Amino acid sequence: MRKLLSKTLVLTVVLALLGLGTAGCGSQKTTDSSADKPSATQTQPEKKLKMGMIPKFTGVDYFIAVENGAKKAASDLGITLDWQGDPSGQESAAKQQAYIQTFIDKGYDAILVSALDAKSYAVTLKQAKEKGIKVITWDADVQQDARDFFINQVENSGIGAILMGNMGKELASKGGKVAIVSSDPNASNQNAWIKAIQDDYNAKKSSDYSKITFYDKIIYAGNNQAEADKSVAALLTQNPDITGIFAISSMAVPATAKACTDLKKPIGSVAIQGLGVPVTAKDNMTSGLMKSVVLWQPYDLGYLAVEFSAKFIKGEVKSGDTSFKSTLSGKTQLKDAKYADSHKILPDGQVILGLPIVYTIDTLDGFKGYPDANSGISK
Amino acid sequence: MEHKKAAKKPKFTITYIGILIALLVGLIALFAVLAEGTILKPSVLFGLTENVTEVGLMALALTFVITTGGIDLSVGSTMALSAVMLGMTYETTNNIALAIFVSFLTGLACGVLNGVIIAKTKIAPLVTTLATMSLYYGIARIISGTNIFSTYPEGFTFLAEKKLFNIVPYQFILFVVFYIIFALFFYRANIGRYLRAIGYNEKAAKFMGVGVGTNKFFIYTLTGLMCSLASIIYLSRLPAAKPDIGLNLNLEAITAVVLGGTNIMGGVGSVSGTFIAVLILGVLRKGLQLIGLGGNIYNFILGILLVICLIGFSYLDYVKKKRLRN
Repeated sequence: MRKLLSKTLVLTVVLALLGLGTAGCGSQKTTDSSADKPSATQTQPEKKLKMGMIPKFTGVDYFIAVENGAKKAASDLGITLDWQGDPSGQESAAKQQAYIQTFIDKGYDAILVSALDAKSYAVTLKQAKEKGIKVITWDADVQQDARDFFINQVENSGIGAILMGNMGKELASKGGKVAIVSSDPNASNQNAWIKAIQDDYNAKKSSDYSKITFYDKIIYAGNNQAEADKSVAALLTQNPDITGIFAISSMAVPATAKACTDLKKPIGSVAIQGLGVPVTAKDNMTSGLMKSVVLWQPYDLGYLAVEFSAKFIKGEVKSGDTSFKSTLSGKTQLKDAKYADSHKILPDGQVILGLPIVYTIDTLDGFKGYPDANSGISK
Repeated sequence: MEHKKAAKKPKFTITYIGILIALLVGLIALFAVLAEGTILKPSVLFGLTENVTEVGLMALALTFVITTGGIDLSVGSTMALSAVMLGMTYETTNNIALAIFVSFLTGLACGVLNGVIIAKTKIAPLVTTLATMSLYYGIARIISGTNIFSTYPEGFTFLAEKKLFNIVPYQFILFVVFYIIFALFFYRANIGRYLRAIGYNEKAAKFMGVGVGTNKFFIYTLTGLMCSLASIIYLSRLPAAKPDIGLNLNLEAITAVVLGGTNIMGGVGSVSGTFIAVLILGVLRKGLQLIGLGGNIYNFILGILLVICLIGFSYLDYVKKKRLRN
């Protein structure tokens, strides 16, 4: 009897909550839209914009540089920026989705995310868009209908051409087998670069790259340095005939260098073409293990993402525009190189930061935003 | 004298459910204050129930298990394996009905293995499910390799997209329905009494004529099936099947059951308590997210809650036994 009473009590609570919900739904459209919808109209007084930004993970050189750039833009433009992420090794798409959901709950004006997975939280992002929240991806994209724009650091084809081209030059005389080391099979940005490398290779297979063949599997070294070290070491141990490695995740470059050193490969026996943070690759470049490292300015990527989102919210740039002029346009990219007068916007919504940068031992101190927030910033 | 004492026990049940409800409301109020009222928005308050269904379904099944004095640590791994099997089957056959069927088959198999070992041998449930936890997780990892199965048909994610009256998630309705079913069986049907009897004194139950082995086999198999259901719900919300998706749910589900008033030693069980406790944990997780504290703090609090509940109930048991002796 008592148990029945308690059960009834609980059921009543549940039904009451459901009833609340039904009643709430009647007023939900109005209360939600005033509480959740961001102030996108110009007639309202200037309200401080609130944005949530999510990297793939935190605590790693590349994303630290992005964070510094993004926060600089936020302070320059008077925006509240909420930077949320998990340390490398603890990140997951599910956790990114939780942050996105929190940003939606708090009614932020824009969500900026570097996606670990292109598909898994597309539904959540679409729900954000329905509520009027701007969804901007940066560094790594999601499926196109789930976001408004994608701030891409470089044009994917450009990366492919540079990496494959440099590898071709380094291996011009001896050729050999090359392998690709990426982070994980769901990383949309890295997949796009792999395709660009393969496209460039296929285009010139019979001419410039006739002496080069590809190892048939792509090595996914993960987003954790220790695991990456192990994967690359395993690759080189099992395939001593590899003469070149494309290291296209930030973990891959140090992992490859470490593997070569540990396995006592003579300098120059394995050509390493990779993307990496120059400061981290400094020792490898000094020793001659790597001739150069390709990247861009992640600091500027963070800055552009925030600035673009703010202007997008205010309506100063719309979908369909083909170019965007930011405070970075025309300013220093690295040393004497400057950004173009405006950023290209591709038809699929990609906003291009600029051209890829080949960092050498002489230019790596021009890298902005790491190890300190002021590194590489010319006064 | 005896009459008075017999009357004392039932009152305790109502009061504890009342405490749980008060705790739920109190937590909501606390987070409303800490996070500037965000949690009171209907979309947020009802939205948070989206995430509780998986834990909730597991916790309902675990209530039956823990009432008998047993435990199932393999729930998270079973869910992960079911998810991976679903993803893999769909990717290779493009038949979602078949994939769902395979997923249930997996959960069934996992549950049956647990059930057979626990019901037929003298091996303790703790050790058994500890072993199967690793086994199922290992199989899930081997099967998926480095793949994440994220291809699903249009409409599979409907659970994530649609809400009743645009505000109450369908998952939550599903959870409520299962709660009612479990509660009816637990409080009104024979099985509820059998489970409590097994938990209170297994030998006595056996001599009373309770099919101890049969009941035990049934509840572990049921748990496996519920884990499969949870995996389908999870995938419809977050369509990426990989081996580590359920790992934290063991802790959450067990904490929910213990917090709900089910005695870890068996004999006393509360399905209603589990239901409210699952909601409490959902509010807790959402509230922590809103104030920017992540998963680690949540697990930390879960651990503390579990310890407090275990010690607390154990002490109450001790006090009760002392009173009865006097």
